[in-house]
Amino acid sequence: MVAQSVAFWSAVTAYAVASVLFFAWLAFRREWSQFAGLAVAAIGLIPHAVSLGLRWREVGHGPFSTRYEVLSADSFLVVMVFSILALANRRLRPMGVVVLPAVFLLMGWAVSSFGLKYEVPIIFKSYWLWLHIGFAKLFFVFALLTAAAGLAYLLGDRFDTIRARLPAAERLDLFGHQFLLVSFLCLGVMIIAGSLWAHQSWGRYWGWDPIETSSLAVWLGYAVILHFRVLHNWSGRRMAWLNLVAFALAIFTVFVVVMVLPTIHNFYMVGP
Amino acid sequence: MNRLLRILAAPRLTLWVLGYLVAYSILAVWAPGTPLQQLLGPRPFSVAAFLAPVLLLFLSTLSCTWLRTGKILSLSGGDIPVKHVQLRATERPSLEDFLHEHGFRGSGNVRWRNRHALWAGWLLHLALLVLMVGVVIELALHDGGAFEVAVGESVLLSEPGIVFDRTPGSIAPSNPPDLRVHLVAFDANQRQSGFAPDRRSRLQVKTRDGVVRELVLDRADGATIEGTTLFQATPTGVALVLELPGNDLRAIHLRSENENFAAADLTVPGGGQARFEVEAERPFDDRRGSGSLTIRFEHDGDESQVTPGSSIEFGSSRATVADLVRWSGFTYVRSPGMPAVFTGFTLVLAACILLVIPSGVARLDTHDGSSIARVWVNRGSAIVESAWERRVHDGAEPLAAAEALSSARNGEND
Repeated sequence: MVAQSVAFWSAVTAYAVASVLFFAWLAFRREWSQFAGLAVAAIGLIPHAVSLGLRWREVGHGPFSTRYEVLSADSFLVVMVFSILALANRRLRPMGVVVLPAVFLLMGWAVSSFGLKYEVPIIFKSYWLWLHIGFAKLFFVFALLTAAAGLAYLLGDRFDTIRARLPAAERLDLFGHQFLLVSFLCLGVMIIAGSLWAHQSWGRYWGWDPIETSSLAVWLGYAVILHFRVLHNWSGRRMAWLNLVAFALAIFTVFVVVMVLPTIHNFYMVGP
Repeated sequence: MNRLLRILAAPRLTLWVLGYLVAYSILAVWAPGTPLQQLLGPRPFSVAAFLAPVLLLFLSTLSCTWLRTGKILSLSGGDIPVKHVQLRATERPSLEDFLHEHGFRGSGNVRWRNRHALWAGWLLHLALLVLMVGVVIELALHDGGAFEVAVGESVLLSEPGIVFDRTPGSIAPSNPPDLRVHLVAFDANQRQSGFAPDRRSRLQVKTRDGVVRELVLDRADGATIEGTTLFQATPTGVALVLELPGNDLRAIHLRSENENFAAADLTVPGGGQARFEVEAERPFDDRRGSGSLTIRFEHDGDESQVTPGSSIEFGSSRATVADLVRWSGFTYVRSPGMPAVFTGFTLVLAACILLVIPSGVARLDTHDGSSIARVWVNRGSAIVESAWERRVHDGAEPLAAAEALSSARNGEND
């Protein structure tokens, strides 16, 4: 438990330092600061993985249950995916200014239920679990990256000093669109895997559970946003705002619905 | 007809219908416990306010798919949409090399970037149509219901009164499946390694052809026999097993009225009402066991305490209280339409994967005596254009840079 806590707080510290370095890059135009921020965030993944692994060993299941496990694993995936993408394409690195502080906040929220531990229900004895929950997490990751691209676009559009630090506007617009498409795919896989899982366990593939319905509504909402681009040629500022709307829809489904309404999914955000 | 198709496929209509469905679904999710619930009714997704827009979405998607087929075919055949960017060739770098670096492949005048992905949007529309049709087929063919069996008891599902909460589709078989289910063993709180304690049963299922299969069920997975899948359900309780004359056994399923008290009211043979009550020292689901049990039998105003082995006057005959056991709830499902839904799911996934892959088409041409490339990319045309401009600037021909700025682009997407 102590080792788990130390590993977790080491990761939190690394992400906090990475956030500060990214802000320093934005404020003081120190190029090394941006790379250092990315490096520190990537290093933070090591203690983060240790804390997740220790919890896994302790409770006997993956990070599927309780707010701590879910948010901590989501944060881990956000940092991991962002680090890989930012290493592969340096134009994505400025988005760390949005991504790392968001991760820091998520970790802060996660720690509020650090002490909670639950056994998972028998229904988790299914391979669909990995697809359903894995893609739910990836959906959140790419929804956050979509919002980061949208926010970066809007900040660059509003402030000349920031624009000079960011990739070209059309590039940010394209990143936002690509992330939106990947989140649309991940959400689709999540819904379908959950549906097949329900069919396997209960003999019904759809039950209009609040989370099921909200996820479908969000998927349709994403389809609306994609139609605005494809059919009405929307791009730039308007699409950046819509990317933020998409993220708001994702947050609404992943966190708000499950915490307020009774649903078969309540287990994953159990917390004080 | 064509006019109708165009009306149905109008982008504005599509967006309004989709927007309506999103808003309706979100409202329906939040409706329970609010005044909105009265407006939407107890089953908000089975009313015209939801189903009519879904039908409209189906027709709109169908029209859109139909109208786009020719367009995608011509795109796939190498036709360039009106909204494209035009790159003017220079000696260095070569346009062909540049296009190749940007993922365009082919050897003739027409080069494609992930040609198959040009069909992504079209395929997604087709997938949604297949999925919606699949859902309707599944609803029509679907049959499901619930039943309860006590340990040691056998029930024939097709017998009247055994299955309840049945939800047959419009063309589903009229009777429940012809399966005889015998509950061999049941544990309401069995622990399986790594999971919270939950229900687990061992059943013997006999088909009409006399085939007997033993099934082990928990709430993680069902088991299929002759097209019918049986599932472990959550409800459980205690049952009194009575031995009637002729060694006929009858299980009386008692309903829990609180956590350590269960009762059943029934009509006895020959008429008249009777009541069985079971009271436990601790809750029935207590991990330590329920403790001592008290069984009471009430008939025609007479109340007596009975134990297993007691003989009671049970209407017109006598019966012996043989045992006190658990009953468990189960459900069965016949869903021959599921392959249609699975097909829809598969196509949706394939289309979503294709959507992520950037696609485009380029045609090498001549314009005013110069070689050019007309390039259309389903997203990011401006980026391809600016990449070419940068490449020309970085090249050895400054004059060509200015020429390369020519563009016929009006927008990035068609």
